[in-house]
Order: sequence, then structure tokens, then C-alpha cells
Amino acid sequence: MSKPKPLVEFVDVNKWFGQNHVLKDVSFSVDEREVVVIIGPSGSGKSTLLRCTNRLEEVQKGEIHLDGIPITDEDVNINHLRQRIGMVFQSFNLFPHLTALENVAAGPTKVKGVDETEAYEHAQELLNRVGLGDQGDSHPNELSGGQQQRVAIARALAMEPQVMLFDEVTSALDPELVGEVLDVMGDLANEGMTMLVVTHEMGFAQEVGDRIVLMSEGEVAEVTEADQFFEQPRTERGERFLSRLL
Amino acid sequence: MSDALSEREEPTGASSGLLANDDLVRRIGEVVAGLFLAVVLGVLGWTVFSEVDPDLLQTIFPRFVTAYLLVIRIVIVSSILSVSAGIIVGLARISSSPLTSNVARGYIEFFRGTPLLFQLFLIYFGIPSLWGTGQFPISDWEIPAAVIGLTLNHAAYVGEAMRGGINAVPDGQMEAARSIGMSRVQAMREVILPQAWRNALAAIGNDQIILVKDTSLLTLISVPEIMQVFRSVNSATFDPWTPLVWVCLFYLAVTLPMSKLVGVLEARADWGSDRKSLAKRLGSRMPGGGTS
Amino acid sequence: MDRRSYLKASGATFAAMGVAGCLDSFTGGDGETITIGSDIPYRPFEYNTEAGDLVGFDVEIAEAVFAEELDYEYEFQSTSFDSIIGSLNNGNFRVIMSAMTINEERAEQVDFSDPYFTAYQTAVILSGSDITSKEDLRGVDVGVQKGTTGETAAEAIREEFDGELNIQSFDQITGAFDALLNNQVVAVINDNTVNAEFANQNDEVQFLEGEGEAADMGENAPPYLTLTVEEYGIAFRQGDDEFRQEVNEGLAAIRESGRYDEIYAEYFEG
Repeated sequence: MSKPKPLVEFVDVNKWFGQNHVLKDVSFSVDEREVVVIIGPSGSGKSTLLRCTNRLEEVQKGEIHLDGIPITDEDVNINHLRQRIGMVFQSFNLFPHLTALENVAAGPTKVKGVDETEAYEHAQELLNRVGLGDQGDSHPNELSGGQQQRVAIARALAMEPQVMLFDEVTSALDPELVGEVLDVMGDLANEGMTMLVVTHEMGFAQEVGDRIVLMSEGEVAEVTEADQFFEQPRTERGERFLSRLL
Repeated sequence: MSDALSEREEPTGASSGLLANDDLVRRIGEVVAGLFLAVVLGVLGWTVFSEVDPDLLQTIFPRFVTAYLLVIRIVIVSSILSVSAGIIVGLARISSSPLTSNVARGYIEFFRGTPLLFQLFLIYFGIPSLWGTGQFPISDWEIPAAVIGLTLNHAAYVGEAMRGGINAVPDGQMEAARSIGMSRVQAMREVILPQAWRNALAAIGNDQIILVKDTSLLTLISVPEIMQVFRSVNSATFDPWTPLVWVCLFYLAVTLPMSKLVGVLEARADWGSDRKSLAKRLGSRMPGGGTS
Repeated sequence: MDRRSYLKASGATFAAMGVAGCLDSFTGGDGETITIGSDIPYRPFEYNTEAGDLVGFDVEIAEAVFAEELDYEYEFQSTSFDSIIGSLNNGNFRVIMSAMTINEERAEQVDFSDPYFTAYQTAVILSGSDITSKEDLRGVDVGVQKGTTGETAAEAIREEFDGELNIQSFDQITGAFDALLNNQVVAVINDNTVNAEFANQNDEVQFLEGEGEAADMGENAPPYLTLTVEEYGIAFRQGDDEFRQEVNEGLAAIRESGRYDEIYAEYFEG
């Protein structure tokens, strides 16, 4: 087994919203094929950090690296970079005027210029993979929340990204639909995708996560192996957080 | 069970009043509507019967047809141009460049804020006077002036409608589009504008129907459209009712098809509605084919 | 402004049609102010100075007849010309004084006073234009005002030419004049005195020369082409006979007293 190298690195990341210091000296890294789960109380900056990773938000101080490239650099081509980072949103954000199949094929055809037949074949495969092979012609508003989110995952995967970002992707779902989405994410992890997941789903964090990053008030409170964390957190804040869950 | 209910006493107090009873209100509404209809039909019928001259009606018909065809041509060209220009104006309005967005804003404020009549006069009478006497090169200027005036004016309204439509598209759409690597321009073209168009369609349709009626102002720059024919017939025969019949019918003959067209466009933009999904489940399916 | 007064007039027309008969004695009369419907501006008959004062031949005649002779108050009301008779019959004003030509069609709708002015339909063109005779008008665009005898004269020419004449009708004569300057029409067909005012104010505008109706009728023909010989009258609703008689007496009086000639000289010397 080759030594894993860091794919995503956060180096002293600081961000302010106006006067509000929302990210304070955040530093950690995500190795290739690793699943890092970011947890913490509301307002701790988890989503903000994730959105900074594909520059939907900007970082004022510090750097974020993808595969060695500082993506926070001014002259980096952000559109090219985003092709290598897949993102799945809490509110799905599927394109309502396109069918599921078209949503998935949109990236390859419009951004990468892939031949249409090829792109649509690949899209169909991805839909099969997330369990929606027969829903290709449906529009998003004909699908349930869980189905939409799975299409969203397929859409992100279609660009063949190096890392997938998940921003509280099950928080907006009815409880009975959460499972189907977590299952897909679990499969993805098993296939070796590098994943950075912000979630409240502790079961998933424990079973699928490799490492836990606990954030609190904009700071990284703790970075621990998942099994270790759920058995015994290494910090007081970690303990407090865990105890509030039980 | 109904017996038990009817044995209860009627509630007293503020909640019972003449207007608290739904059925009563509905019936009053029907009476008013019926009366209104009867009066209108009665007056209209009597007037048409007693005032309209069937011979004159026939004689002036061809003139109205000619005018109608001219109006249709003007409307089609102005409509296409104003909607296209309006989309550009709307995009300029939301541009991140302050220069672009403020120029667009100035444009909109001017063309929305001054009367169309004034704009038509400016174009028809004003612009040629910038050349020396008798020097203006375009001799049948009234039709181009009409199209230019209508286009510039309505592009402002369409632009605002588009701006509203674009703003109504959730932020998450742009985020998702950018996240798969689209540039802002690509995202606008592939994701935002189709949705913005759908949002703005009702407002744009409304505006375009107003454009049709705005053609009645063109009589003031001597375009031989429908109102012009009416005025000519009226001043020669002193009979307003007979030509009015044609005025009414011919304008409706432009606006009603237009409403229908807007309806068709709205239906086409109705992605994945219940109607459509039912039709789809019952019909055949083409994988990879777009339906929007 | 023009459209608004047109709409006002039309609106009143259509709303009042049903009760037309009751409106005869509605406006004016018996010491009340006489409202005079007129298409303003129509220089030199009725127009506003820069300061906003209403002046003109019709205005002065109105002053002489209504105020001086008959001791009435009067006021002019601006309205569009092509709907002016309908407006009169709907009671929007008491009389029409708007350089209005007396003719048969109009006499079917209104009663006219005795004539108070003679006019000719003429054509003005741009100097340097290659139009030298009526025949040269074949196939060109001419400008007229809606509802005027100028329009009728143009239509007559069009018939003469088997349809080879394009007539552009404007709301006010100023529109037709602008169209001439803007190279939209080649000639404007309109009353001679009004055309003369325009030609005087504009070096590049001149009359189309030639002999015409005036010469044919043995009148003191002016040097320019005359298409018709016409007389202006004040228009009254049919049945307003007593008042019309009064006004006719007033008109006769000002001719006798020389007041008419005074006013005429003021506006049309030579």
C-alpha cells in the first residue's frame, strides 16, 4: 500500500464576515482516499470552511492547497480547478429545467466538451450507480428529496473529481430518505473517493469516517481518528460535544 | 346529522353580518356580475343595432384590413427586437461592472420614465431635424421610427422583467453551476437564463400585449394603422360607432393570438409539472432527449 | 397634449351619444361664457405667443364679435380638428372657430354663420425641389392635416392621378410642416394664409406656382397654385338658430364699422 499523500491542505485559514471572525487559524489536511468528517455545533464554521474549499467563499488569510496547488491564489483558473472538486449541497440545487440525465451530463458536455453520446452513456451509468437508472427522464420536481440528492451526487461525480465535498447533504431530508443517500456516500468511500463531509449524522461519521475534525467557534478543536473519537475524544470540547449528543 | 346542526342557534355578534355568510356573498357577486353583463350587452346591443351602418361597415372593411396587416408586421418586428434587446438590457443591469449596470439603469429609467409618445416624437420629428432642411436621407421614416420607438421603450420593461426573473432564481443554482466548473457566462446561459426567462414570462407577455395597444399612438406620427383609419372614417362620415366596431375587433385580433402565444410559451416552460409527468408516463420516453 | 384632448373629446362623444338629444341647451347661452372649440395652433388664425398668450385672426374676430358687439364672455378650447364637429354636437363647446371651411358635408352636421374669410388650398414645397407643377406631384408623398379640406383636396388629386399619390395625414399642421423639412413629404397641401406664414418663417419653403381655381373663377388670383376656393364660417349646432342669427348680425356689424378691415390688415397686409 502506497503512502497516502495529502490531497487537500488547510494552512492557517482565516476568514472574516465583516467584523465577524468566522474561521480562526484552521489547519489540517485530507489524505488521498481519506474520508474526513467535520462535525461541531451550529455556527462553528463547518459549512463556511467547505465553501472556501471550492472558493464559493474567499479566504482572507492563509492558504488552501489542492494536490499541491494553492487554490487561494489570485491568478489560479478557478473554473478549471472546480472541475476537480465535486460539491453536493444541502438544498440539492439540481437544475430544474433539465432532466436528471441532463443534469448529470451537463458538466461533461458543456464544460469539458465531451461528445454527447459518450457523456450521456456515462451519465446513465452514474445514475445506475446511485440507484436511479430508471429516473433519467424525470425532472427534479418529480423526484423525492433523497432521489434528488442522489442525482446531485451523480452530477458531481460526472466531472470525475479528485475530491468530493458534502455540505450537510442530509439535513434537509425527511428521516426515512436519509439512509439511501448515506448508503451512496458509503459506497463512494469504499471505492476510494477522497471525501470531506460536513454532517450531523454521527452514525455515518463513526462508520464511514476515517478522521473526525471537530470545529467549535471557528477553530479546529480536535482532529482524531474516527473510532478513537467516538470511544474517547482527546479534548474537553470533544467530550462536551459528544456528551450532548448522547 | 344535518338535523343536529340546523338545531343549533345562529351565532350572534361581529362574526355574523351580511358578509360573513359565504353563500350569500357568492350569490350577491353573481347578481352583480349578471347585472353588469346584462347592462353592457344591452347597451352595446342597442347601440350597435341602432347606430351601426352595415353598408359603411362593409365599405370601410378593406381599409381596416390593410391597417391591421401593417400593425401585425410592426408588432412582430418590434416584439422580437424589444424582447431580444430587453434580455441584453436585463443582463447589463445585473452586471458586476458598475459602468455597465448604471448605464443600463439610466436607459431603463429614461425609457420607462418618459411617455412613449414623447419618445416617438423625439425619433420621428426630432432626429430628422438634426440634418439640414430637406436633407434627412430616409424618406419613409414613420415606420422605422415606430419600430425603433416601440423597441427602445419596451426593451426597458422587458429588461426590468428579466432582472426580476434573474433575481428570483435561487443563489444555489449559480453555486451549483460554478461548482461543476462553469464560468459565470456559461452558468448564466445554461442554468440561470432559462429559469429567469420562465420567471419573467408572465411579465414579458403582459408588456408585449401593451406594445400592441401602444401601436395606437402611431397615428400621431402618421402611421396608417387602425386608429388612423378610424379617425379618417369618423371625420369624413361623422359616424363613430360603425368604424369603432372594426377597431375593437381588429385590436382583439392581435391581442388574443398574442395571449395564446404567451400561454403556449408558459406551458413549454413548465418543466416536469403534474400534467407533463402524467403524459410522459403514458407516452413513450426518449433517453437523453430534452423536453425543455 | 393633442392625444389627451382627442381622448377627452372622444370619451365625451361616446359616453354622451345615448343622451345626445338632451345636450342642446347644455353649454353656453344666456350670458354664460361662450366656449369656442378650435384646433390650436393654426397660425395665423389661432396660436400662442411665446409668452403663452392666445392670438390670431380668429381670436381677434371672436373678441370683436362676441365681446365687443354682443357683450359675451368667451374662451377658446383647444381640441383636435378631425373630431371637432362631433365634439360640437356633443356639447363640448358652443361654436367652432377654427379656420373651418364651409362645405356641404359639414353643413349636413352643423349650421354655419355667414362666411368671414376667403381662402385657397395651396401647396408648399422646398426651394430647390424639382416640383414645378401639380402634375409633378404624381407618385410623391404629400402632407396634410387630418380632417381638413386640404386633405380632401389631396384626395381629389389622388383620384385624378388614379391613386398615384401618397397622403400622410398629421394631427396638427405643424406635423406636416415638420415632415416637409424632414424630407418625409415633398409638399404640404393646406390653406394659403397658413402656408404663407410657414413660408415666411422659413427661407427654404416656397409656394408651388401655377394657375388654378382662383384664376378659373376670375378672382384676384395669387401667383401660386390654388386647388380650391373656400370660405370660412363659424360652426353652430343645428337648431342653435337664435344665437347664430345674433352672431351673423355681429359679423355684419364689424364689417360695417371697419373693425373687420382693421383686424384683416393686422394679419394680412398686402
